[in-house]
Amino acid sequence: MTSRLPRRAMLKLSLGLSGALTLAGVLKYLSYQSAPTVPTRFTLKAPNDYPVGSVTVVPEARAYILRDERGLFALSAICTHLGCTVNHESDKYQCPCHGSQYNAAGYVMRGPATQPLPRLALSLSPEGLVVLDTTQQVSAETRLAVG
Amino acid sequence: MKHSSFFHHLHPVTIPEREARYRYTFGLGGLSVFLFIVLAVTGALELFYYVPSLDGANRSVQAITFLVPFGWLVRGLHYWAAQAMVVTVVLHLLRVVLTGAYKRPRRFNWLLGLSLLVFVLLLDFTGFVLRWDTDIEWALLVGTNLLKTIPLIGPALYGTAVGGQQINPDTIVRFYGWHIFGLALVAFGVMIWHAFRVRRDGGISSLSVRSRSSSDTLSPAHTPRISRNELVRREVLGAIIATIILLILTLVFPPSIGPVGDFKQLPEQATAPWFFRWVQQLLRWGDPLLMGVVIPIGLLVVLALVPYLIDRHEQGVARWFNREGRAAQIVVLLMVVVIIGLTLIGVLQ
Repeated sequence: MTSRLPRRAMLKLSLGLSGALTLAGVLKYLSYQSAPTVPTRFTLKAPNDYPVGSVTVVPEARAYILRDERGLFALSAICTHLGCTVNHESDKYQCPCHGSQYNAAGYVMRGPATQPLPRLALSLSPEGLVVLDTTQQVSAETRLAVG
Repeated sequence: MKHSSFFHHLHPVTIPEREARYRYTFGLGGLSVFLFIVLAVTGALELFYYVPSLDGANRSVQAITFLVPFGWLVRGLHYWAAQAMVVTVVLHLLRVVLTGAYKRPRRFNWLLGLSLLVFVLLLDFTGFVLRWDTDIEWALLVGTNLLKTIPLIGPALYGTAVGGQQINPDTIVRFYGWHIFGLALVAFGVMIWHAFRVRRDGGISSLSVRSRSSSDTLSPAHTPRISRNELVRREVLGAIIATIILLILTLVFPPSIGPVGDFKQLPEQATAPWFFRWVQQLLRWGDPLLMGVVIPIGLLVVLALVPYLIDRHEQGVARWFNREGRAAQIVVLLMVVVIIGLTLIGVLQ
């Protein structure tokens, strides 16, 4: 007499497997991403519209354009802790979400953030306007030289 | 009321009188069911006007609040029933812990209930986001970025939740889908299962055990019980009182709607929704993965282990602060104190 248990176990197994496959299929279905609609390149103003020592916010890019004696550079305004947009206050950046603070050069003064604000790539358009690319990060020494 | 309707028949024929008292359960489970019904009805009504798009979301919520006749009432009831439900399910969880109603054979139902708690919190969160004003911006940003911190599956989880690599116009539709079907509909199913399990596990956790053969005329007189009609009467009373309270809350503290959130403004204040303020406070203290994911999920795991590890006694059911369940009671009450403490610290910042 054949035992009835293996058949039941077999059916349970197949049910479980099909369930798992279906779940995998549903997750794949939900994973589609249409073309990114959030822009990453921003054409801004002429270099001399950013005076030496200025800090100019670019809200659409979530970044700040700064200029020192060596030229222009861009700081990401996205807090490295959990992604909130930091606010510029006098000579520091303050995150409204969990209290992280960065100094004027974007280095962490107070946590919980542990990484400095990234520097973003600046270039010049053919018309001579400043172009910001939020997908490219550059070193702290990099400047866009202003003639 | 009709002597006996479909609604009556959803209830057991009789339940023990002792445990049918308000001061045993406070009717918290039933209240949660009622609030869910209010949410489903008001939510359905809002569905006729809410537009899940970048241009339409905030505008349509404003329309419901200020233009649609009684729209303020529908939205207000929906909002307050949602916040009230978070409170009732947590209190219900506490009641279950303190009366030992998680013990065998109710351990699986305890897990079902825990999953419902998670559903309710996620529903409140996704519902909050749908108004798409400046207040939700930080909550949405942080809440979803937390997903990204999870190793291996983080980015994929984020993509599934948000519908893209970052918050974008598709996110609104995504959250709309999550709120109504991914969460509410699934939670409804789990809720039915949870209620079914209550019946199957022997009804309301009770001191009196029904003799198997109720027709046995030689069995000792069983403890007093109330009829299903009386039970329904008590539930209706609870529902009426709850409705009055919801109405008062709606009139005195109507839910706000701010200007459209475009993630470009840099508001000064960034506050999580009240039921997640404790997590926001944790996040102020360090690493996002640890504070925002590991610890909250860790707390959930501890709760799940209550009937399997923390209190394995089968004795002590249906007695408030039963001796056998002391360990579980202490652990859970401590958790509540910590979470409330974190919330207060966060609020007083």
